[in-house]
Amino acid sequence: MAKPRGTVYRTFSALKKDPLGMTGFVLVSIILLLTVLAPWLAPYDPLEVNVYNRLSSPSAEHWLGTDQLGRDVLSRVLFGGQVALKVSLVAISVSMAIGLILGMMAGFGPRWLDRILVISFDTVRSFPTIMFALAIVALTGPSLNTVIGVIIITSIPVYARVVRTQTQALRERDFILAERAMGASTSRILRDHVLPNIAAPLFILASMDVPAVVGMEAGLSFLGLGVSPPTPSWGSILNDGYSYLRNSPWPIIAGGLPLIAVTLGFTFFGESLRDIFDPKLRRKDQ
Amino acid sequence: MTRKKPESWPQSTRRAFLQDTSLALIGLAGGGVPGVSWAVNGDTLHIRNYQDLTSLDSVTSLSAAEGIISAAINQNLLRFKPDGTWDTKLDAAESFEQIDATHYAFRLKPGQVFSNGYGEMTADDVKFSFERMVDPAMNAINRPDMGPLSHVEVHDRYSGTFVLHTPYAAFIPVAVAGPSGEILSRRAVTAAGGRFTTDPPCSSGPYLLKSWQAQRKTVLARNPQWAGRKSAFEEIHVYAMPDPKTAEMAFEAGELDSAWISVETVAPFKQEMPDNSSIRVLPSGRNYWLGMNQENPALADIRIRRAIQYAIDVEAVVEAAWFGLAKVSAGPIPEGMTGHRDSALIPPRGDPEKARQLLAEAQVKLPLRLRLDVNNDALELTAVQVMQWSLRKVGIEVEIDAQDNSTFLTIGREDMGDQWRDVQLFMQSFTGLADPYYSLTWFTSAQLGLWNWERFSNEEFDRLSDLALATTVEAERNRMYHRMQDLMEESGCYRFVTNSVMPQIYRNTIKPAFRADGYAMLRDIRPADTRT
Repeated sequence: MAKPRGTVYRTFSALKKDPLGMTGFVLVSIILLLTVLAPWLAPYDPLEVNVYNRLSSPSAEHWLGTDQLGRDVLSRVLFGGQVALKVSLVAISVSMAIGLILGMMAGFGPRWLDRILVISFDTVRSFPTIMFALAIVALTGPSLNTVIGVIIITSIPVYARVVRTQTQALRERDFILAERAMGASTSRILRDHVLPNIAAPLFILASMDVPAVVGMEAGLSFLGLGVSPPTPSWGSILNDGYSYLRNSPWPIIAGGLPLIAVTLGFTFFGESLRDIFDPKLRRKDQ
Repeated sequence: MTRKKPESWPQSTRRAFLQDTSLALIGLAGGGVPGVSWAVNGDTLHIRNYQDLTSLDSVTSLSAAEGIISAAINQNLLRFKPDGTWDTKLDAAESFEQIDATHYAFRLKPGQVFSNGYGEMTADDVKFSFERMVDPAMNAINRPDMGPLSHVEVHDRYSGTFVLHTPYAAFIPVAVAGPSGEILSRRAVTAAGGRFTTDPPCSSGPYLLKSWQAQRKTVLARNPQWAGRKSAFEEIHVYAMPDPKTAEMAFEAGELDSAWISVETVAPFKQEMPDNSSIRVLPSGRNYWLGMNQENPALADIRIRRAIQYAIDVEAVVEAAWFGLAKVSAGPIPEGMTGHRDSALIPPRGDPEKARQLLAEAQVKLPLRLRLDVNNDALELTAVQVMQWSLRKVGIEVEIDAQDNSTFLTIGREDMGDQWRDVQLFMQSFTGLADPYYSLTWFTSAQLGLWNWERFSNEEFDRLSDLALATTVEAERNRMYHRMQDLMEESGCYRFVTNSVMPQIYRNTIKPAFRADGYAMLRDIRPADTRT
């Protein structure tokens, strides 16, 4: 029980020495807090329409102004964070879990299975993500679940490839060979020895994937292929803002800022974690 | 008209330099030449089209985007005046008169030639052009435009008579002067295999189709054989720009001379007008409404449809989506046309209490969940979100399904499969023409599964549609079309929204020309300082 606390403590201590990493951590924490507390923090119902107060500038009543339907932009941005969080949490968890299983199968299984899986990963990765998303949306219609599905499908090979490489590096190590010699089953070796050794890089990769996933959701929603109206998402806020940019710049600013914050926050935080857990990959500037 | 600029030169300085130098040269040349524009004459006009072409053949053309182009390269016997009205004037015809209720005589101007060596336009070409539209073998998509046309009798090289089965009040504005009445060369079209798409075999209008680049632009060039008043521009470049924002930026950058812009841009542009430009907010023939498929089980009870009608605050919809520039409509027939109603049966702001009462009477379990299909367009998405909010207040939760235009246009069509059965609510729009017949004919029983996605079928409506077409007494037609719109509304299948507006921006260096529905008339656009 003491070991995990020690890891957390050491991680946090190392983080404090890295200003960018700490900035990232603070940004991520703020975003997560605002998003989780959105229902209590949002001053208005994000769906409440008041067309006679549309595109108003920031004021005491509406801190970030209103959109083209008179909806409070701040409330929509806060609730939009929930969509981003849901998409990234679900998409990354599922793709990481599937990628983990497939990657370990490829890395530890027979050579023919490895080849088949690698070809499959490469095939999926060869499709440009947006084109792939457009094709899927054209077939199934736009929805949040479609967005999540597209991100899962296109992210699985990324995780699987990392896991495969790590597993292959481990499979010939002495402690694994010793386990095998002692008759340990494949599943036990993978669960007790391989998984703990590849978990850290995987989670670092996941943290650095968050801005990409959030950006993809925002991009698809911006194109009208993501969440259905009136659900607020940062992408749909940007899309609305783009249409009415001449009338009011506030929706664009309000939709863009959280995306910037998420990108910077998770990138700084992820890089810092990578440096802590894998000093070989430490940033050149340190 | 718009020229490319060397990037290294500051824009304003260069413009001022060009303007000053040109004016000085004109001044030196002759102390100013009235009627000649230094910037335009012999130059190129750059204009936006809201979408690309699919066909310039009247048998298969689908949209006004194509009509804008084909009207510049072809001639009709009569055409609309470029003064924003539906009044007509002679075009290829030297004379045109109605002999009786079912006969119209015409005589062509001699000496009008088709390009590419296809010779002089004759009465036989008129016969060919009109009869192919009603030929069942051609399966013309615009066949309804011709109404009860039977055939065309040719008397001599230049004259003939149209023979109709029954009287057709919309014959002149829809069949003769509309896009379906363009005159093609029998010899040229036959040589092309009887049909064409974006490569017309010849033209007779003031401009020729010089080139077409898919999704980019169409270039029209002055027709050297055109016998009428000399075309104003050497070339007209028509850019396919579905996104009005792109067009607005292109206009500001000086790359366009005229563009249809979005309603929300009118106010910002008026506050800070691009250089040397003007804006006109024109009435549009584009009619918008919320349709309800009465054959869908969720909407089969008329009380539910009526509740939806009463729940929607159309004033708020128009205010939000059209920025207060358009008026709430009382039906598909626009203001100024026979049959236009001043008010609908249901008040524009609706009546949420009445809606709740109707839902209670229908014993609907709330929330009632419905799907609303809509074209993926900023304006329409804004409109349906206001409707969604209105409906939510009475307990109807609407899921909006935004689709690209080509997909959306198929959802109610029977020939595209069974998906029409799943259609519930949808926001639809279409552009009318110069006669109320054209505004209402799409809602008859004959249109079930084609354009009648509401599955509205009413015997009295169908009968009145035929009767109104056959009478030429305006008061009678007016009464019939009023009744028809009442029937539509009483069915609960429709919540009329607006007849819309079309904001057009243009350089002051040109004299624009627009049809009564706001579309540009390319052949009539002239340099600003030429005499009319």
